[in-house]
Amino acid sequence: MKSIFTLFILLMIGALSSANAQLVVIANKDMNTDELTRKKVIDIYMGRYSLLSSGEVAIPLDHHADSNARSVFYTKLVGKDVSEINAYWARLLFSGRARPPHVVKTEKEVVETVTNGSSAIGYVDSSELTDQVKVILRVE
Amino acid sequence: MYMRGLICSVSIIFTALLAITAQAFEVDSSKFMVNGFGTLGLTKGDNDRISTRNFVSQDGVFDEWSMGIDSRIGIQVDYFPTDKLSLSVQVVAAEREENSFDKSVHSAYISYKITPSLEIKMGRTPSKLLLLSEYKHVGYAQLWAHPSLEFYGQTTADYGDGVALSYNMTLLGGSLRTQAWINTAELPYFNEKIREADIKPSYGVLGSWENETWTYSFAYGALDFHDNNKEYLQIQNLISAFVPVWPASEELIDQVTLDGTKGHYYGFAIGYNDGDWILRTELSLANTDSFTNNVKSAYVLAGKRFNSLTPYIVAATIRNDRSNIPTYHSNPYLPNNINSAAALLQKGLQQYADHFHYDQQTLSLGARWDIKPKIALKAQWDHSWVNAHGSGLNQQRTFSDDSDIVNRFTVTMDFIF
Repeated sequence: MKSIFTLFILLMIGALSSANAQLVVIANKDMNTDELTRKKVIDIYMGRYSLLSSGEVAIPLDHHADSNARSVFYTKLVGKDVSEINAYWARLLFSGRARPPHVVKTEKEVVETVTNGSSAIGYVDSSELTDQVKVILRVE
Repeated sequence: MYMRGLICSVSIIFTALLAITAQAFEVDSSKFMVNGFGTLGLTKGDNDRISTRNFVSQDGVFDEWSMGIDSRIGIQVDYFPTDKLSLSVQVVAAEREENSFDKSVHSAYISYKITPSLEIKMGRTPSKLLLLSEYKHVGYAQLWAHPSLEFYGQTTADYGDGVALSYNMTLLGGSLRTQAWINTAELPYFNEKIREADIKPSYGVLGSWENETWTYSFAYGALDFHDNNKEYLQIQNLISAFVPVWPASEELIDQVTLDGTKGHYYGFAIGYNDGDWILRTELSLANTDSFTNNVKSAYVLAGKRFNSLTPYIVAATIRNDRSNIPTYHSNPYLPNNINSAAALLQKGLQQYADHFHYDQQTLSLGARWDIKPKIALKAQWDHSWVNAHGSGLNQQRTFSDDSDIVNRFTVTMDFIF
């Protein structure tokens, strides 16, 4: 009976933490920018303009084409689904206008790359945050 | 010619080196990218006299099935040795009337970012005059199954060899991209056989502003035409021979060819995409000193997304002034055979001039279905009204003084990889 109760509590905690989970855009702690506007993040992730007001050039990291995080991120950020984003990037890539964000395999790898690269920014679930990175935008 | 050969050689060497390097070493994936696109298309025309096609450089489809005009595959290799420097080569395999590796290389350039906002590209870069010019062969990036013949049909120059400078900045909540270029290009056109005019130099400017929803674009191009195909000399010599008996024909001598003429091209576009609705219109005006003068074309596209399915409608038009060849009036003091020959020449010149007369409208209905994140199926039906003598965009098996109708059905599978 006690073990069932413990399992129930654990499940509740899991459900609550999952409900609180949120996509956040992160940057290296040494980056001179502490906060980015939603508009600026759109400009960076849509390949339009990546120069920050601090003079740094942001290098965006992306998730794999069929990952859930990518789907949620672009839907929340620009209201477009994965197919639309793929078509958009096909336009920019094959016309030579912009280079798509570098794709990394896991959220852990996003955090690692941002930790090791002063200009890199990425998006992860808030549960993946570490002391080595800072949140520059909450994607809502 | 030297520049073209050089670009072709550099692309072959670059592609080969990258392929070898990629196999031999573990290449840093953040510095090296290989991407591709393709379209598998099936097209059916319904008119045995007038063809349908996407560009005037293609051998069109009459009342028959074709997999040629809407199918292609492309691969692009990008290498970024530093944050500022990059190299890019794009090769597109497609059915062409004159095919070679040189024609297949759509881009091969070195790019250098002078500042984060200012970039220079040297080599072969995609043509930029119209909104979709730079990626008109990437079907997956577009809503429609094929580009509008009325609007994109004439602009057959896929690339230019030269220098392009671009500057990006944020403005009024959106991003502004300005570009200027000078290059040489080729303008192929097919009528019974492939012919090619050279544009050297071609220079132009482009300004486009876009935010998450709206796109505005304006482009201007100045073109100096040179026609290496000297067939027109025979026509000019023939007209010159008849000038003494038909003085009005003298003004036609310079008009029968693009060679040595200047052209001016203006393009304007507005686009709207809020994720649900896709609306777009483009307008263009092209002028030369030849029979191809004062060409006005436009289209309007509207699409509505229902999850992965997007039905759309396109209305397109093109029109220019018909070059009316002066009437030959029989001269009673001349022998009958001279009068007959001059009348025949007048008729032949009118038919020749009508090759450059455009007067047609098309209504298209279609749908795009994104079956996978990187694969889309499309179907499109086009109904074209080709007005009398106005079928310059199409091939004609026989001449007619009447209007005609052409239907076309296209299904494609577009993909990227």
